Amino acid sequence: MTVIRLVKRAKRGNKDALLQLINEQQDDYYRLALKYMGNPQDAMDAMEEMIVSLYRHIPTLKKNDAFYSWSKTILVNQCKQMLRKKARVQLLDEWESMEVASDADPITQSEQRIDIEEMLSYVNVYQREAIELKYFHDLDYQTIAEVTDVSIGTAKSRVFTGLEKMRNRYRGERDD
Amino acid sequence: MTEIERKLVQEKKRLEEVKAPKELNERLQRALEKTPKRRKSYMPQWIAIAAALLLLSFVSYQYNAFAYYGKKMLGFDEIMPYTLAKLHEEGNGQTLDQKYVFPNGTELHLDGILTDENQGILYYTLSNPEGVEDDLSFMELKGLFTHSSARSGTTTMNEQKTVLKGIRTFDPVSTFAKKLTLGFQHLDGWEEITFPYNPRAAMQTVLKQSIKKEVPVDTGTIRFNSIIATPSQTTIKGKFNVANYDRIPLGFSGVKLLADGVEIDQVSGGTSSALNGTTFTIDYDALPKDVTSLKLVVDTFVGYKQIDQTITLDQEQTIAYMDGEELIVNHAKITKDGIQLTIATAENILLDGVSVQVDGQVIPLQTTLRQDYITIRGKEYKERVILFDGRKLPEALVINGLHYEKNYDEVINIPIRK
Repeated sequence: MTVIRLVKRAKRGNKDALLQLINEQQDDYYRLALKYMGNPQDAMDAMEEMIVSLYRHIPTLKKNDAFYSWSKTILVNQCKQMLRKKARVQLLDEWESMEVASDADPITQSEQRIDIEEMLSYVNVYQREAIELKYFHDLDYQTIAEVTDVSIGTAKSRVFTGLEKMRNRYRGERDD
Repeated sequence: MTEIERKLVQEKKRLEEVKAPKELNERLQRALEKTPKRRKSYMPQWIAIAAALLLLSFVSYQYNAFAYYGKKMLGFDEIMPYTLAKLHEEGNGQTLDQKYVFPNGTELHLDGILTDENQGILYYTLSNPEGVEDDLSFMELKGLFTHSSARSGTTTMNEQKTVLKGIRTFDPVSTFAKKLTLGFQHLDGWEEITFPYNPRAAMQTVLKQSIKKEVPVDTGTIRFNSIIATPSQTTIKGKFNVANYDRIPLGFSGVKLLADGVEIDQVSGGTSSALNGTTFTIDYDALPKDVTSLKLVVDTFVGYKQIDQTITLDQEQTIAYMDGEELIVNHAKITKDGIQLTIATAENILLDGVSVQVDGQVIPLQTTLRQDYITIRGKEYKERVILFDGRKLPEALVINGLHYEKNYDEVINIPIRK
């Protein structure tokens, strides 16, 4: 069934249709939530909240074909809200650092990771968020703008300036 | 593509190996199941305009934080159940005059709150001449000894979509709270509004007593513990341990409350599992005044019967009766996945121990592929497509038992102690 038909059914209050819509891109949602929340449990909590919110608000979605970008915006908002709430609690247990283990080859992956991690460390948090949303989570500029609560122009410029900074740095290293 | 972009793409590929945990799907499903069904109705334009005008004059006239109604809540008539409307007419509850303006210009106005030992009910209005985008969600009330989650809500919107009126029910609020903080979710994030609350405006409980009676059912027992009747609602609480409780979607809807012989409407019901067993809550409408007799009747509840029936399958359609319950089996099909059968029964029947016989051999059910609600000759049926391993058409369908909606007719008298 097409996305549009499922969205229409979900708008009429069909819970299964909504579940099916989420299932189609379940891994994408999960990775997005994981990026913000940092651990699987919280990521899943955020998605639970998201689906309840989607169910309540889907009648207000104007463009049926914009379901995925709309729902991802809600997911990110949900994550940010949970992080804000958690920030208060976190002060108490900041000693416990959270690490996400990867079960793939640890050496090549960690090296690759350090590489990109290092490059991303040259840009500010806003640029980094925009770059990650664009390149790792495939969001378009419109959605990035909504998710990060800025204009499209700002979202684009964050990505471009961020990439530019990384490029200069990378070139600099190679020329040395 | 630049070197940087290539690296970003590489990293994305690595990230794509991260898959959602298997339990996620089930968690999402459960979260949705718990969410009350959305209800929405639209009120005629003139009501909205009248309500907006009246509300404006009403609100601007009252700057005092506490003021008792003495009047109906305006604009909520359409979504307000009869019991609540009557309580407001009698002057119960407390008006609030709290405003919050969102960055997009939408104004949230808290109109009033009605509380008692069973629930808290909040009335609110969202308005924006440019159009109201969204209702609020995840609302909670916090205060001294109070952390009440929202239970359910109803809203109504005018045709222009500029005014939304909503009623939201919460878990009860403590009598110690002098201030309440309402937390809610909007597309822009989490917001909170704190407002003064007068616990003395809470309505007095009409009746509160223990029941302590057990009713045995086919696969366990239901224990009714207590009844609390307040002016807004009557709540029955208890515990149960019934093995096949969730096999059919009946819940406690077949448990009736009779006041002086008259059935009181069931408003909602819910269960929650705790360490020491599963508890249930059934909410009914408020009791009429001066009730002299109260009865709980377990009219229907989930039951189980062993049938061990072998149904020989015809070429076309087979209609069989399993101890009086109709079963329609449509012609079997062989697909690439195996033997596929389409069967239909009444909505509240679940078959147990299902298998087919092929060449005298018994093949157990592999999975259910699909389930739909259909109507045949004006009757509602639950139709499902079931799959068995195998390559040959079956001779018979074997069913060991049925989970079904059973008539128990168990009556519990609740003597009223005054």
